[in-house]
Amino acid sequence: MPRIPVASKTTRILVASKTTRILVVEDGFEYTRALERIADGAAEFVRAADAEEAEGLLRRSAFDAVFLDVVFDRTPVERLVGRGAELDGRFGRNAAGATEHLANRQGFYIADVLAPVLTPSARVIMAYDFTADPERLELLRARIPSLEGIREGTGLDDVLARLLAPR
Amino acid sequence: MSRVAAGLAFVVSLHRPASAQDVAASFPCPDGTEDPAALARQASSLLPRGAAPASRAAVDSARRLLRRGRRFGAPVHDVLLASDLAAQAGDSDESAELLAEAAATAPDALTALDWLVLARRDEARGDYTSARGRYERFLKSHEGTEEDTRWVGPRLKQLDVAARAASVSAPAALAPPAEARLALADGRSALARGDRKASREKFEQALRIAPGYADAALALAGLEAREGRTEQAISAYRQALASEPDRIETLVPLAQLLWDTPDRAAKEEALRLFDRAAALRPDLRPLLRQSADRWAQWGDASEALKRLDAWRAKATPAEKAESERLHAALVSRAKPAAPATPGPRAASPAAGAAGSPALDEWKQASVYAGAHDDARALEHLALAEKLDPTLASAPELAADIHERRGDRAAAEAALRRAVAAAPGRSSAHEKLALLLTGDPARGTEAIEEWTRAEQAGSVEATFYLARQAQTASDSSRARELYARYLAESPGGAHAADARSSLEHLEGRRRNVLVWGGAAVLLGAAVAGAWAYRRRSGWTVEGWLRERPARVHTARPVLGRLQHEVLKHGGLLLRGSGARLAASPADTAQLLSGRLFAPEGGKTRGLVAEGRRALADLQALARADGRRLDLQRDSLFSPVVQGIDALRKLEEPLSRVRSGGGDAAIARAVERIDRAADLLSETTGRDIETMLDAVATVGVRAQDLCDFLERVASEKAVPPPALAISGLPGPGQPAWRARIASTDWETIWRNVFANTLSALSGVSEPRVGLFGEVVRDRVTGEPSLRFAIADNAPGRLTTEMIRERSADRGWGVVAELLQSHGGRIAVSPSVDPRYAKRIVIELAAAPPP
Repeated sequence: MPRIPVASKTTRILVASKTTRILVVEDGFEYTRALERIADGAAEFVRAADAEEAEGLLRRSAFDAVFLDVVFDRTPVERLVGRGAELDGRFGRNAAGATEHLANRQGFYIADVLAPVLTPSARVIMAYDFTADPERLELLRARIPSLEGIREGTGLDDVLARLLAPR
Repeated sequence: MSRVAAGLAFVVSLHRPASAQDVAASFPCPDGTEDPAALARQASSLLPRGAAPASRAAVDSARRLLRRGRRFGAPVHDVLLASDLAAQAGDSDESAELLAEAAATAPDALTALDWLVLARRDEARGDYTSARGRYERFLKSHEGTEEDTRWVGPRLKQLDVAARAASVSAPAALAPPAEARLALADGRSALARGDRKASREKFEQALRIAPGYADAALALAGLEAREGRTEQAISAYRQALASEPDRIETLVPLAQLLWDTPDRAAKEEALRLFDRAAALRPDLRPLLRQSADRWAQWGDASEALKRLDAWRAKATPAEKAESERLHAALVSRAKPAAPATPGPRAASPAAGAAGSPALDEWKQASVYAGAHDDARALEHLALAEKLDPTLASAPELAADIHERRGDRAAAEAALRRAVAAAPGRSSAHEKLALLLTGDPARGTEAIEEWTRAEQAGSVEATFYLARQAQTASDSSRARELYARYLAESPGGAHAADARSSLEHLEGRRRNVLVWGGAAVLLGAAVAGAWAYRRRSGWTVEGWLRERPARVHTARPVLGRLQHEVLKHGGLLLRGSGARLAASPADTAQLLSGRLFAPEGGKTRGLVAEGRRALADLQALARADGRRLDLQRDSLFSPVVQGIDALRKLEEPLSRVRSGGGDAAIARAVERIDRAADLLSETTGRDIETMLDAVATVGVRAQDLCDFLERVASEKAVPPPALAISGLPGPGQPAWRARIASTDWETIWRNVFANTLSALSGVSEPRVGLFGEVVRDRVTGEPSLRFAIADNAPGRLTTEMIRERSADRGWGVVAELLQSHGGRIAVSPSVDPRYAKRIVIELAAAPPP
């Protein structure tokens, strides 16, 4: 199978069918690799490690769906987005607390960065269960109408099926 | 105008030269003269005559000239003139510096008000001794009536206390972090296994994480002493003593090691330490006898006799008989009025660590307690507790005072507060256990408290628990505990007792073995210990219900567990069995990578992450004196078993990767499915629900209204007019704030108390309380936002609250809010009826 040269820090997994392109935003490679294996050629997966990389990819090319992890505790602190006056006001000098807070919610901050560059037809699935607080999902949908969560206990097969399903 | 400002204005007019002229704002630079007198003349010529004010430019130019003159040795008069001009220009720092310079060279040239300015400056800087001297000079120089200076006497007394408090050592640090406690526990396990190298590494690691961790320093010192590394042992004991100066488990072995050192100064220090240990623990008679023996060896018969007599007053007839010869020898050697021998005196503590308002109160209380002014000491301690409810040293000191006065009930109550404030501090548990041990009717409670002390890291507790096990005929446990005590504290206060008890028990054990019943007894003891451990284990919910304030530290740990194991584990494992059967090598490779990331890699692997999160949870509970039994915990048992099942997958997956046959695949599939089933039994939502059930507070308008009235009643002030809006009223569902109820109460108590204090002089005090639920724009998380508005005058800013320079209690509020992920801010009120508003924000739980 021919391979396309990859951009730095970006893993591109080329598959036979190019009908669906999925952007996976995660701090590791677990989801990308697992989805790629399950998809078995049914989609092309591109992995982005952080907000800046994901935004760049979305600006350069179109994706049919985005899969977004939430916790980014392996990402270097300078690559995390969302640090601002509000966060400093909350944590003061507790830099470790602020970083933990950001890393544990980074998926939401990345979604905020990606919202302006997402195409309206792109489905966005976040690895977060909103069933305990549906109002929260509604609020986030004001920025990203196609945003969906994942109920706990859902297998990756089901997630892939939703990523591949047409909107 | 303030007293100081008035003083400064007076001083300015006093020193102003009569020949000064007022000139225009532009001043040519005079020639480069180095003559201070010429420069002073030039400066004076720039200033106006009489009482007419000088222009800003004139003052600045005159200051420049005088500054230049000082470089070439200006007389004191010019220095004072420069000081006045600096004050006139609003540069109070330079003005005071110049006054201090003049005071050092020609103190008689300063006026009373100069001394007052300097005294106030020194006091503000915390240099109380110098401030005291300046106030005394102020008194001497003052020419007014006695009425004017009546306030100085009490001020001098306050400065005396403040100066002595400043030299008091800070109390021991609060509970060390979980990582340090974990390292200490690991070190002790290694020591029990006989692995001293690993044990030392772990103790040192604990000290690196928390340098003031007395239990870790003590454990390291014991290890060094056992290995004959005396110098290192002394150093570690000193480290332990610096953190907790009253631990006899540190004092006695350190005294012993110093006594054995062939150095006069070390022996003198040893005598002081023996005395201190004996004074601290009068219940331990051997300490007094040891002290008497050492003084006798030192050659001071009088001092030795005092201690021996005190010991003999409590000794048994047999002990008295045994000591008769020593007593007689000392009586014959002792001179009637022997001069005090060198050295031994109360240890002077090192200067205190960086302070906080609560710590300052504690230090002042220490000074008053030392002077036996118990009432004042208790007043300061009550304030310290209010300012910082986590400062366990405050109730501990209060307990010491109550105990000294014979009020055991008050002492116990204070110690219980200390234990609740810092459950990870072993010293508070030890003191409470000792108090309870003194009451024969409360033996069971005492044992429970010793158990908590032992779990918090107390070495002394192992001795008491060993003794209790011996009394209860649990020889196996008693032997184990005595051996552990001797391993960790070979020269400890109870070492002789422990050694003889252990020898006695070992002798009995050998006899039992001879009789052939040892195996049966041992089995029974092990079963008993197992049953005891099972009985004594806690569930996570049980522990958190008892310590709801812990939820905010446990939540991130459980969040990690939830994310790594429940979410990733579930997502990746579900269906993996089927995929493994279909594509064995690839799937096994993928699973191995995620579950068991290679050692030293960037990722840790799900199994290691999960186990680490569980260990961190155990460590947090251990800090509270609770041992979690996660196997018995219906919520966490499936998680523990699930992680264990995943751990056992390593070998089957490796076989599959290397081309194992159908049997290996079937085995791996079976384990994957079992792990996936187990991990799906407890969901992250279940854990969140448990946490919210334990530590959320229902919020209603009426509750806060009642609270304000209660605080007003406690402060004996009429409740102000209160306007409430936005908060849930009767019949509406309460909001749920994610915070422990004790912290919630502390926050509002301080908020309302400070608000009421600020309103004390206001003729028509008004308070507005507004609430709303807000959502974070980015994450959508809900928070509760409260705004407390009042019409009190005075300045309060967000920075003042966060930097703790505001009124008492605001710092506590800010810290508590921050520890719960909340925040506080001050802003001007948009409503003209109020002057300012304080906004408090706290995380909210979604509706149940």
